[in-house]
Amino acid sequence: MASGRVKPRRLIALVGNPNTGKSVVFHYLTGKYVEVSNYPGTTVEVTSGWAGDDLVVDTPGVYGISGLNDEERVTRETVLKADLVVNVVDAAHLERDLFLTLQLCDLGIPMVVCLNMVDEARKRGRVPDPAVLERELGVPVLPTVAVRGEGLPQLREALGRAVPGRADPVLVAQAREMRGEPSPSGPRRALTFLYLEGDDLAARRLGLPPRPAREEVWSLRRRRADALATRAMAAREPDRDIWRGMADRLLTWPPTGLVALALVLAVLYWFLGVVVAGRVVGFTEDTLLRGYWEPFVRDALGRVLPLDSVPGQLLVGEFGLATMTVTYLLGLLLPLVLGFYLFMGFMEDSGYLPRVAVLFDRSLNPLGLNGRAVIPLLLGFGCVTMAIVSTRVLATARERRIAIILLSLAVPCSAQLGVVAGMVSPLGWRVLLAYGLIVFLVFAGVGLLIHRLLPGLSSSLLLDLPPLRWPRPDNLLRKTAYRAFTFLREAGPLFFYGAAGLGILQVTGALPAWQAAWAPLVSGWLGLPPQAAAAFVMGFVRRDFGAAGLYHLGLTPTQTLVAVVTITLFVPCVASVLMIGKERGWKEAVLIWIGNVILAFAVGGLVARLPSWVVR
Amino acid sequence: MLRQEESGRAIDVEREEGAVVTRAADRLLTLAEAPVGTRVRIRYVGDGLLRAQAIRLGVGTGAEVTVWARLPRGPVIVARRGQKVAVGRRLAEEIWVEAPVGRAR
Repeated sequence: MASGRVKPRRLIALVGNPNTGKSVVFHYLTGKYVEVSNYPGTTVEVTSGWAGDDLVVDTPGVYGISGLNDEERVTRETVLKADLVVNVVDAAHLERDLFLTLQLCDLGIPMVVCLNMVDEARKRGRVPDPAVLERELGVPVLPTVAVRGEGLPQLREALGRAVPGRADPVLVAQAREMRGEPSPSGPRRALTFLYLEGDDLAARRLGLPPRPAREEVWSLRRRRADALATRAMAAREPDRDIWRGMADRLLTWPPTGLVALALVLAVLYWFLGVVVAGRVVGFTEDTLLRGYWEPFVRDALGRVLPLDSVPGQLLVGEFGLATMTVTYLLGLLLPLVLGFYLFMGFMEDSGYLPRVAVLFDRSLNPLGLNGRAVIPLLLGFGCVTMAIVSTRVLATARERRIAIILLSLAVPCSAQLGVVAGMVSPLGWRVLLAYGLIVFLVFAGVGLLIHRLLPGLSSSLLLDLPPLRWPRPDNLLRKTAYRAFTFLREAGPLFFYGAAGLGILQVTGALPAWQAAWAPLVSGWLGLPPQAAAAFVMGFVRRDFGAAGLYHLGLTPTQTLVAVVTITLFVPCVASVLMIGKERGWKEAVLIWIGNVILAFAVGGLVARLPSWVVR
Repeated sequence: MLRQEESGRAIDVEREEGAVVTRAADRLLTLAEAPVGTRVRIRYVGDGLLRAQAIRLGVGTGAEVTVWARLPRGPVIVARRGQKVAVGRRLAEEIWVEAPVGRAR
């Protein structure tokens, strides 16, 4: 959370459902200087900034604050600490959003409701009356069109008039029974009401046994939210926004939906594969970092100590912390990750990603995953390390485990795909097809198998489909920048640890011995030249490194296919393994590592024995 | 509370007073079976893990929803008051609905 040299006068929490325009309101209130931080123990991004003497915290979009996932837990903590809550509500989706509003009203924290996107609501024939909401909720309700700045000055002014909302009368009566008249506000009041609706954390903090009241209280709240939305709808006209409904039909009807997805993926391929991986990385990696940075560091360090000394080798040698690692992280991965996050942000903000999840739900079910898993699986084609972090969107530990195994085994990251494409494309479509098919079969086969073997159940898909809209470029860029920054902070150190470890192996002479140990397996079983062993070991640092080492060996088409398949399935890079360790524990990381090695060589050896007509 | 009996498809509807009313099997069906375009009332959500989330998203017991689309062997998309929720097939098979309340639109 935001560091404060100064203690804020008030802590203001911005709370709302996903895609309600919270961040636009946030940036209006706080201006330019914001701080992004990770909530301890999560990857949930929390942005905070100052509005005069007040500290404003933008919480992740949630449907309620009941700890059903990391986002909700973070939002709950922030709200419990807040002096004031600004609840951003999507006027076009009042029924959905008022559930959270009513929950916030129960907590007794002074609040203001920002009734956002009234223009869109009007277009869809649903115009809520702020006066009705104000009367029934008991808090100021300000209509806004945040993206155009309409109503935001009035919202800022209304912060001074914030009051606790009108709580659920049933809960008020229960609170009274519990401990006499409930205090109108304060942290204990909020905890008491959370406890009454069956919140486990609140029960623990109050030292009470958990209260199994959730479904009962929530059903009642759902009915109150629906009734309130009906009363607040000043006019209900026919939906004039026909294209949205049509677009939605086309995107979720499998024949057209798959065509649309193919188009989207083609754009993704062009954008990432051609523009980013080709031109941008060519500039950042070769020109900037290899051309200027690496010679500069080597030169500067050479003045202080001999480069062939142990520290010299560790810093600027083959796995140099200051050369190779920096080049890889900033020159290659950062542009790719930025590109990927930009693309994913677009898919997310436009509401398209949930539609993809719907399309793929059925295909992912046999692997013990549901449609939500498309997010980490797609991200894996960018950077597997980054995708492993995003497996936290999955509901159960079982699904996270399955997704991580599949990511580390059979999803080639962009760095690797580049080299694989380079090696395979001169050999024609048959080899390319064989490569794709083999990797896909391993992906599906392993998925089916672990779903059968792992005990327990995976969760079903239950997903709110937000309306389709055009994303706001400024929001998109901001989000992308935040995420890339988070990626660097979370994954960056892991790349350095990994390179340091390999550097130490090299200077102690353990690495050549290690490579020699693999040689019999590589030449005997896979039928590759013994020098290829070095490429496999290198592949552990950077997946593309490994493949790059195979370029100059003069491989036959069959050998090339064996090599690219084995490299793809072979262990993920060291940063991914460290990330798996962080996420799932070291035992699991080591098991996945070993499993990957065995499977990669098993499949590679089988490919080497394929009949010759497959690859000519 | 609803319970599907082991044999046949008779469903017990336990009323609050404790009286048990057996309904004809054809009055209740799962969300996965409800025809697209019909309006149904949700009577029971079987998946305990997702029941709370379903209530919050407005597809809990008592909710009236329109079956907006159903992907072949895939999720069912339901619509209510301008909001759409995708329900995975396995969950849809555990959601019992009373149908049809009427045709939508």
